[in-house]
Amino acid sequence: MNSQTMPIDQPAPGHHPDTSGESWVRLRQRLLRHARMMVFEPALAEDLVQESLVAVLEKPDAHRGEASIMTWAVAILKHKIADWYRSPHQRRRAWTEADENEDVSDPTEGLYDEQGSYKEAVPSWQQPEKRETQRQMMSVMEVCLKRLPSQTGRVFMMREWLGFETTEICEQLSLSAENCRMVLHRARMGLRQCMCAQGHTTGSIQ
Amino acid sequence: MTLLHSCKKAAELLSQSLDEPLDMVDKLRLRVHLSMCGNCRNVEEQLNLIHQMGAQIGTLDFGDDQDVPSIP
Repeated sequence: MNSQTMPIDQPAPGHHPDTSGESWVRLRQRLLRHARMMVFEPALAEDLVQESLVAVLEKPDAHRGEASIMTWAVAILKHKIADWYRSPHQRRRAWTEADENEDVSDPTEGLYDEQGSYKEAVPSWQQPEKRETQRQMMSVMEVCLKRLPSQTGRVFMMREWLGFETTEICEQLSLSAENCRMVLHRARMGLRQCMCAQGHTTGSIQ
Repeated sequence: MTLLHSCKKAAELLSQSLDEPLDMVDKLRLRVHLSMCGNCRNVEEQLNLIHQMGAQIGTLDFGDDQDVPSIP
């Protein structure tokens, strides 16, 4: 990468990044947003983000091979969150009482007729080719993720974002395989319905 | 082997197939159903895209601020 294409956020090799800069504030905020989605305790989310930022700062040159500090920092955060989920003494705290009382209604209710066929035609999504379309779609997806019941969203993120196998998720959260499958299915169907509805109004999904 | 008529069941199998290999019978029933059902093919496409995007959360969502490093 030559100096001309070097992004603003990227420190020059051998130099410490400027942590007071706006870009760092934004990076921290972005990491926090993801961390908060995964762990329900705000203080813990803060800690995990802090640790990730420290890891970035300690080795500002270590992200070679990653596209940007941002991607690298997200990768570090993912590891920290995955470690947290895997630490045995934390296990029981992953599922809260608030989760138990949450509205976890089936997002597919009303979607099918008695034969199990779709009542309305399912729209076709085009594979987003342009970066701008991808970004739009990603922000729609994030909005939709927040609308899922929080435990459903968390299971989806453990599977898709952290890349946990379903067997591991079931074990960590003490769910049956059947339950795990159902939660993931509802998460995905909830997301696609929300994204269809959002796409319809923003025009970002066809 | 009975035919799979229900799109509801097909969607469940589509989701399951993203997490674990389906057994031969389910795989075949799903394939036959998809070959006859455009709605389910669209759902398949959507679920695949959601699956792909899930792994990329946090690395693509720059949205408003354009001066964040981009991914080549």
